[in-house]
Amino acid sequence: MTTSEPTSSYKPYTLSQTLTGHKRALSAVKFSPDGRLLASSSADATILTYSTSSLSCPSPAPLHRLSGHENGISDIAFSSDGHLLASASDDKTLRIWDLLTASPLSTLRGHTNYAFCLNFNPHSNLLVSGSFDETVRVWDVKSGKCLRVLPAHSDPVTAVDFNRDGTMIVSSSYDGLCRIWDASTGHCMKTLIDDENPPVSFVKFSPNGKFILVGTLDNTLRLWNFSTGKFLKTYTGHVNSKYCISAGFSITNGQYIVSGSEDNCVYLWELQSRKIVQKLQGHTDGVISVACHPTENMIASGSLGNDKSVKIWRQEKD
Amino acid sequence: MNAPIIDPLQGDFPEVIEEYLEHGIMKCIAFNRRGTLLAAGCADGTCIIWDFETRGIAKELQDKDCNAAITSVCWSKYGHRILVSASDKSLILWDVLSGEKIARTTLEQTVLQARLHPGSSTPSLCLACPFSSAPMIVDIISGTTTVLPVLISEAGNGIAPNARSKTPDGSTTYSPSTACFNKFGDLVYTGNSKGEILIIDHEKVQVRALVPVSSGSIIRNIVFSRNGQYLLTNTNDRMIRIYENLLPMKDAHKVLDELHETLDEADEVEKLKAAGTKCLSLVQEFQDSINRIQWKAPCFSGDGEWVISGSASRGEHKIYIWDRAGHLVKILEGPKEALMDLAWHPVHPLIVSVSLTGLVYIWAKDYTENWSAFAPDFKELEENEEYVEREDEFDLMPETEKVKESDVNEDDPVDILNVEKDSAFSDSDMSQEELCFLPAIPCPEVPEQQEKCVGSSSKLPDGNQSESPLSVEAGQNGHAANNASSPLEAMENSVAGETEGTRLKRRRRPSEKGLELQAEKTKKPSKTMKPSAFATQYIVGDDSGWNTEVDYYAWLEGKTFYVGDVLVFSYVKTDHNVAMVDASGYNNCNADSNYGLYDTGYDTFTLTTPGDVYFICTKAGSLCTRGWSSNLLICFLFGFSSRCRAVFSYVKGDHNVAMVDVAGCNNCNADSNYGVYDTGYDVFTLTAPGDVYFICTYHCDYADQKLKVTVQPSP
Repeated sequence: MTTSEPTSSYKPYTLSQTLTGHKRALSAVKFSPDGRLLASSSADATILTYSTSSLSCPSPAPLHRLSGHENGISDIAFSSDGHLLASASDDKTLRIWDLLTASPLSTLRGHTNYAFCLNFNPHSNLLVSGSFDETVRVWDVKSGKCLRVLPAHSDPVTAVDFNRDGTMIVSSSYDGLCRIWDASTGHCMKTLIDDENPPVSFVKFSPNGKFILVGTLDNTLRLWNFSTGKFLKTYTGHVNSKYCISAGFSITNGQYIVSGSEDNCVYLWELQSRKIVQKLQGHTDGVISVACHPTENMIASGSLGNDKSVKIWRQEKD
Repeated sequence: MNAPIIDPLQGDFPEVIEEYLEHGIMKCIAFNRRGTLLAAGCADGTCIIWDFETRGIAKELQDKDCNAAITSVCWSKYGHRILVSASDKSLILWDVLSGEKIARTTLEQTVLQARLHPGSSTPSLCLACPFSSAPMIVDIISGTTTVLPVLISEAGNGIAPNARSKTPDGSTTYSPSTACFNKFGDLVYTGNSKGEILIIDHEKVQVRALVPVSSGSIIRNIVFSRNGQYLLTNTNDRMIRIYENLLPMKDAHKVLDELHETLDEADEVEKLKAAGTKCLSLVQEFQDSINRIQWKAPCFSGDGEWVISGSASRGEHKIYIWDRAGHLVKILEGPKEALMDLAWHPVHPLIVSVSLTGLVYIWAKDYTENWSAFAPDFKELEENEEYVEREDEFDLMPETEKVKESDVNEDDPVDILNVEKDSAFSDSDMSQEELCFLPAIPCPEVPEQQEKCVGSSSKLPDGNQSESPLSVEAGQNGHAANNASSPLEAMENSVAGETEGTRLKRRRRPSEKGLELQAEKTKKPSKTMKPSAFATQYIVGDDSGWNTEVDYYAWLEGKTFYVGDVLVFSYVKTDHNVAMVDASGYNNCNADSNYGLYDTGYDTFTLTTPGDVYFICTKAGSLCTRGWSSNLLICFLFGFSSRCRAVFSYVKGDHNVAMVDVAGCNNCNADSNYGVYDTGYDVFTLTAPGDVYFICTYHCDYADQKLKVTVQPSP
């Protein structure tokens, strides 16, 4: 897939759609694993879901608005089959929603401060969440019980993720650490630390689960081999010193790293060469979250309070 | 997937009960291929599927026509189907995802064990081992059955009656037999009552090879390792034998056909035996040479490196772990509940065992937190290392920091997509979708405490060992999980190393008297006194009974007696007797006139007061057993024969052990002559006769953690 001159064959993304349904700043945008749905969460305490196929219509209407949280929502996650959506809120709870009926199924209580990030495991029987209470919690989706509380960090937890077979959890925190946990036992397997240790704002496993993509509040994204503890790639050029901005792997046409930025742009780097191949301009405030469609060449981005919109970017067709 | 960063210092067999699963009375268990789901058959005919990650119930399979106890459960290769056999003679095939019954068939006899054909993802063929007839291949959907041969008649080419429709008198040659498929299901390995393994091509219904295991003793279990390379048998001679499978995994039956053409023995039986030597070769034998216990539910670990088996003795929940090289590495001891079934997790060092009370215990490693995982710059050392400081260690050399950065070339391509094949499942047929998980639908929010209460109140088992041993644990020890937390309980570890060498020659006489005794045993318990709710009944010497051939010190190890417990002495009336005596009677081997001498062959004693009790047989002068039981303390006095060792295994940091004299024991002072040990596993060799005392200096004072050991001179 990778060519030595990626920029020459690169087809730029262009703005295809702007969705304005939220009243306050966006916090997260996600595509469902099957690509059928797009969901966005916001500080206005609601979640909007869209059918991906409707996004090419002139003014797509959301499928559902999920409301119930008392405070702003910081993160959302789809279950693998796309039937469930989980949300983490500043009301300290997590909620699980049934997307077929757009109704709340359960409320998971336990965090003692803002719930900030969450993810399902691939089998979607477990949910992991991180919070400002500095813990990582593992929940049984079916019973809604907290199975494990990991005293993970000494500062707010900014991101949590399962690897592709669900055996490991990675967590990141303002304390400058990333930790890897054995999902079945809750034991800490590894701690990753940078010499400088800037606050870690984001972490995510690579699609094959061998590496982690780590965002730090010194305007840097790194691809890290967690088993050796070595940095493999560094991606810079964007602005990220304040917010927990999400990033992702775009693998549908070539391999790119995609991230939001506080300079109102979405950045795309070529994975291997680490060169910026495109800056997507259009938002009028910082881009807090990005998501790549699992099969199509489509990127969704959500922006902060001055903008409040979700933008859909597509690659030009041949 | 997480293999690259797993701490290699953590061993790989389980040590303690980590958790237990409770739902009705579970009888038998089976993991799916990945170990993500655990199916458990219950006494009421339901089959529970546990999500092994969340340890919650993922599904309940219940057939309204079946409320008889499940005798076995078996997953299809890719986990889409489950076959259960029940004691109402039925076999039911379930679709796991939908929870719907695919087929149900009723046979003439109760099937003790049913296994699905491993070659297909949607199997309908299964191998059923009925209670007292030959194993048969059943097509559960069409209902057709094919009885497999179990005996080779000595006469020649004939195969023992392949009775399709048996009459009660005609089937007398059959006794319980066991069978299993090989890895791809083209051959069936059956074990018969003559101690032979028959390798059968089940499509042709033809015996292709014969391997004699042990003459005359019934083969109770026959199990393949997950990778199909090893086979184990459990025979009535109390041996577990490990065989290496010499046939190729694929198309083994064709290789056998070719083999038959090359063999030219005239006699059919000899020919089969010759073929047998080309199929299996014995690599290892396991037995407990001390207690001569019968084995129950032996199986391999997921990677085939370990072999485990439960003890078939009633009233104990012991799991023996051997490595494949033949060393006994661990005896796990659970609550005083008989063990019903056993399984090793396909991937993790986890064992699950089913107890008579219907609980499923999950045994896991006693994980010690590796703190260096939290602090990446530190490395945990096994022992202190001398550190030699570099000459320039504290010199300021700004350049060196730069050098460190450059050891990774950021231009090296990385592969973020491709996944290496999981070596543990290398035979996976990727075209087959495997069912690993059942979708978790969040339950509506209801208080769900009631379930637990119902479970525990209706948990009384149906067997004759129903004295609720769980409550003993709960009442006095906290629930079961504190295994090996005190050095005294953990003496179990010493059983193997200590006594094996000296007692290998012990033989057991399987005489008619032994059988008579068995019969008596089953009749008698009605006569035993009604013990208190928490009491446990011990058959002294377990199956071996009361005679000179049993090491009662070994039997005593790990047992704790409480007031109200009942000791049962079962022995051959003409050879032995039993007398409860005091210390001097014990030392002099004189029966005490106060208590009297019993010689009925089956005598019971209830422990009424805390303190020492001694039992002797006056006929065999040397047979003296004594136990020091007390209400709260878990202590024993052991008399040791000659050369012996005391092994203390405990949680390092929580306890220690010091050998002291009597004053040290009374004052809880460690003796400087002997020193204090705290490695977590300390061995003392006791060389001279007399009393020795051991204390834990942390707990001697307020918890009375002390032990007196009396070393007796050699007889």
